Amino acid sequence: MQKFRYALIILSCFMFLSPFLIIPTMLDSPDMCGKLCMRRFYLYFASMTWDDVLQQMSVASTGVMFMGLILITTLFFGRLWCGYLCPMGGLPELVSRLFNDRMKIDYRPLPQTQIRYGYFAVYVILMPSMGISACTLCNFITIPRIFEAFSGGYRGFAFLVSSVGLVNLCLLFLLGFFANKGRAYCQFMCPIGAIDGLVNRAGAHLPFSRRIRVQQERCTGCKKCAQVCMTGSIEMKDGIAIVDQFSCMSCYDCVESCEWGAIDWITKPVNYDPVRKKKGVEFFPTPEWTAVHPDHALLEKPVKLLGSMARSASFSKATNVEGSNSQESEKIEKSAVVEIEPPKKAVRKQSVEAEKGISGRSIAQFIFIFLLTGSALFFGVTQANAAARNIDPDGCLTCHALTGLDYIDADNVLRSASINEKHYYSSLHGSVPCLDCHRETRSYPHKVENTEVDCAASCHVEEPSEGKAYDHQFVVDEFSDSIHGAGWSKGFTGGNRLEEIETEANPSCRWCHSNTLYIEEHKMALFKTEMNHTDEACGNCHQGEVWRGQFGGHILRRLVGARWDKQDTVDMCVECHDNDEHLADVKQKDALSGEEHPVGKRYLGAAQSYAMTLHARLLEANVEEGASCNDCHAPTGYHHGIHEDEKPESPTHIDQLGKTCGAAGCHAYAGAKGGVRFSQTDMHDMSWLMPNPLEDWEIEDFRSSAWNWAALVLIPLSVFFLIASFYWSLFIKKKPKTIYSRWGGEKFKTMMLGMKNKAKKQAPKSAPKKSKPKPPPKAKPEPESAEKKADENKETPDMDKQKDNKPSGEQP
Amino acid sequence: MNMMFSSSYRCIFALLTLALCSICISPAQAESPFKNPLGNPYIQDVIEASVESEKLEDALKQIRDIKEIGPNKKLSISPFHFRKQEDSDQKQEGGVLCMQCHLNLPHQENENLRTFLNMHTQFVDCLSCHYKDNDKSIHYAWFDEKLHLISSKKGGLEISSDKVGDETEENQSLIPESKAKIHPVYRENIVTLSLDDEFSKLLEQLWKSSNEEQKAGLKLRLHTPIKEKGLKCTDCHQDKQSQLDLEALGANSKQAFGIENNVIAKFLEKANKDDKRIRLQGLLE
Repeated sequence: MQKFRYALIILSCFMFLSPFLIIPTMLDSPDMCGKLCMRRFYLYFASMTWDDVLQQMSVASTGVMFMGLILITTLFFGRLWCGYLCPMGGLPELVSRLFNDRMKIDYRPLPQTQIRYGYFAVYVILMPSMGISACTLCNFITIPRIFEAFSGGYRGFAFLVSSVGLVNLCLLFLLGFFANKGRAYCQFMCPIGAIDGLVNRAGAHLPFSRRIRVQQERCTGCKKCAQVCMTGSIEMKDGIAIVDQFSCMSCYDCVESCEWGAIDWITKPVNYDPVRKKKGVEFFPTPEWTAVHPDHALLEKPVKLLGSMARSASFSKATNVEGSNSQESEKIEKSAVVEIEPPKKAVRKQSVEAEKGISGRSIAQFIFIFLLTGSALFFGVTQANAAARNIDPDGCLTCHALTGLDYIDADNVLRSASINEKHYYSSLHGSVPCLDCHRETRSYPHKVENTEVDCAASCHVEEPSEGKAYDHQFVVDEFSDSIHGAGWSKGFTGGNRLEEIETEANPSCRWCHSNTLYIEEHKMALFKTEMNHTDEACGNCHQGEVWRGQFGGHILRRLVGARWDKQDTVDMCVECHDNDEHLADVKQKDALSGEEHPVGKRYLGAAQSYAMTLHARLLEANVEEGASCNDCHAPTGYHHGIHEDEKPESPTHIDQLGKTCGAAGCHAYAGAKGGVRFSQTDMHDMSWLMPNPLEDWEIEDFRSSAWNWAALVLIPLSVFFLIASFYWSLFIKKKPKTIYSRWGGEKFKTMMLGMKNKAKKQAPKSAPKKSKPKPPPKAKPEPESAEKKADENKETPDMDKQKDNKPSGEQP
Repeated sequence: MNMMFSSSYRCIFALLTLALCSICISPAQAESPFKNPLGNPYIQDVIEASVESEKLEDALKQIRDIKEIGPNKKLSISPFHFRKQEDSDQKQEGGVLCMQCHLNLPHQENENLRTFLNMHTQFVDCLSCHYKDNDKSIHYAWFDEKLHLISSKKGGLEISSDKVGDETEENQSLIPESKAKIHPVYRENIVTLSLDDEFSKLLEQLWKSSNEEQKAGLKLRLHTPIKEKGLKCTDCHQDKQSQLDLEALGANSKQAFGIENNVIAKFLEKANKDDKRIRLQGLLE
């Protein structure tokens, strides 16, 4: 049986591990958890909801189904995956069997159930609640990586020499190769094993479930099974072996080693209550191999135990088989009467009641805070307003500063000629006179064409460091080159907004940009708290609101951060790219033929699929580690150069992705050799959008997961096992093993096993025969005794020999 | 004359409809059963109005070709220059009767003046400029949005101390409250018709239940005391014989001086007079 098991394990190594990777080569993922494996550092993240858990389960849905398959087979047949198929546990086990037992550490005395489920609880509950996934300690990563490393895979080698990999390697050596029987990792750390163990234990009481069970009336307490057990799940209680179903892997070692036929892989035995007839005599000392967990029977019910011991003692006294042993039995009786103290209950300390009432300390605090706020208010409020900066040489604002200069034009659009003077002077263009942009405006009423603005035009503001006139030409050039290049960059008037929207699908400058303050209104509060002294410190002298808005904003923006943060960028792109109405008009040019065609599903779903990614979720949760649209599509230059993926200079081109992901210190090794798979992670994975499974299912979806293929192989196998097992249990009956009794077969059978013997019935008849012909026919009993001897000698001798020796001793 | 307003509007409605129908048939003046209890001159004029049949056809055409203004389209491209936080409401609550149809930005055609005129709608009522006073002695006062008089100390009116904004005393706005407007007053009766007035409600019911011809007639009657081209800029913005008694409205000397010698008013007067466009540099001449 063991050879069968070893062969299966080796076969599964071929199927799952490099360099053969029979199952993973059918798709492209040698990781057992598929896509989720790469996310193992980010399985839990800020703003995670239950929907995300379901989402992750659906990503690994075939993995989840595979797990379900494992659990179902466990329910029926015991932990067959663990014991027979799993390469992650099987490989260390096989390797450890190559080494001498003396070199190995024995973990079996440790309380494995407690450790395993304690670690499992930390793994599954505590660490996720802190946002850490313990996937990195999983053997499911380490073993494949070892194989990869030795078959020339960079990734495997890189993993093994990383700190995580070294830890895992150490664990592998200590808990695998150099552990007694090699399954210590399975015992203590495997999460799948932990869940499997729960199912195993839960299903053990079901009548149809096959488990390794002990027929307690047959167990002699020789503890051979416990010694052989590779998972250390057999313990001796009261001299009888008991299998811990949390840990047993149905590996069959114990069945093969038991000489009494007391342990087997069977369904629940009919006779569950132990009917063990035991003489009050210990055949051999109490096993030293004690139970793995404290014997609760002893702790809770000492009286019962004492009672049973007493009964057995009295039995021994009654029969008085061996006088010498009565002393031993007394000793045992005494030793059984162990005073066991009940566990001490923790004493609760009474909580100290908080002091009530106003203490002197609180008064002092109050005064301090009062003074602090009072002085802040005092300094903050006493300001005189200074005159605002006036750079309106042409007097435009004489009229345009009036509020309410609105009208509704012929297209039903609200038009306004009012300009908020204070806001303008505090804005980005606050130093720019009106006519620098509205170049041709000279007379009133203004001709519409004369009010046009060209964003690339240079204004007369000189850039302070070099003294050159400032313009946006370079940005416009980058923009015109980009995919959005057809958008307007000049010819803007107040009135042609509607026309632009209706005629042009591409964005112009003003789609995204308007004349804002240096720092957005809604961020001003945040900036002020970061630089919380501008009102008081700078504002003591520079008391104009306009000055503070412009200059303060100018400085603050450089010190505290860019005006647009990543979430703003995303919001801006999403305004068009998440608007189906708008995108319906967009046409793309086919790269080869140049034909225009409407956009595809991937384009339409770009915003939604991005929103599902970690990059977007982090930004939504105000964590700056996320990536906005620009961080991938236009990370360099003036951030206006967005190109289609197929263009070689595009940052999202397949050759550039490594560099793009590695830019800004994000994924530094993405560009290195071996990082190709990482950088090709699909950021707009349409499968996250959970398309209609009936309509949109494609064969690629099936091919793309390792678990699908594994299931394809394993489901028929398990079905076969299922059917065969039913057939076997129904129609094929196992022959009972022959029992070898060591101490005089017939007597053993009657005394130990309670089996009624034919010999016993014949005994009274044969006895008188014995007694009668004793004196005269001495020859007769000789052959008879000789026959008896011969009969008896066939069976293993011991006690019965002693008995027979006496009468035989009498004989000459 | 006591009218039981509360009892049955149907009575009034029926009678008035009858009256209007008779108007449509014959241009003869019919006696309206609606009495003007508050003595509102505008209502009086409307009631006493006679409809001329030539104008009826034009009115009918206007009714038929009416173009719905607003709701304002919010464009995906926001304006480059910052105006104000909220968009101006098209329909204000508890407003005046005029705004029900004309909304609060009524000036549309005159390119030169429309923005300035619309600006004035923030603090000047429609009827202040567009009421045909027929030599009645009209004076002007501040009223809040519910058409309650805001009193000021000068000239018997008291102005409340709430000022809009934190401007210096020099730049302080004359407007006493945020939504106060100047309304014409005749014999201590406000001319403007509020929406809460019974007459307005009656009109609303009538309008809903009228056919096109009836609507045309009603429209004509409503606009009888209205002049299409209202006051000119310089009628108020002048220092000699201004329509507005600025002192009575609570202006101090600086404010009065600024209004009377308003630069833009002078400039626009020129712009309207001359055919050629005025160069901006000539603004201050």
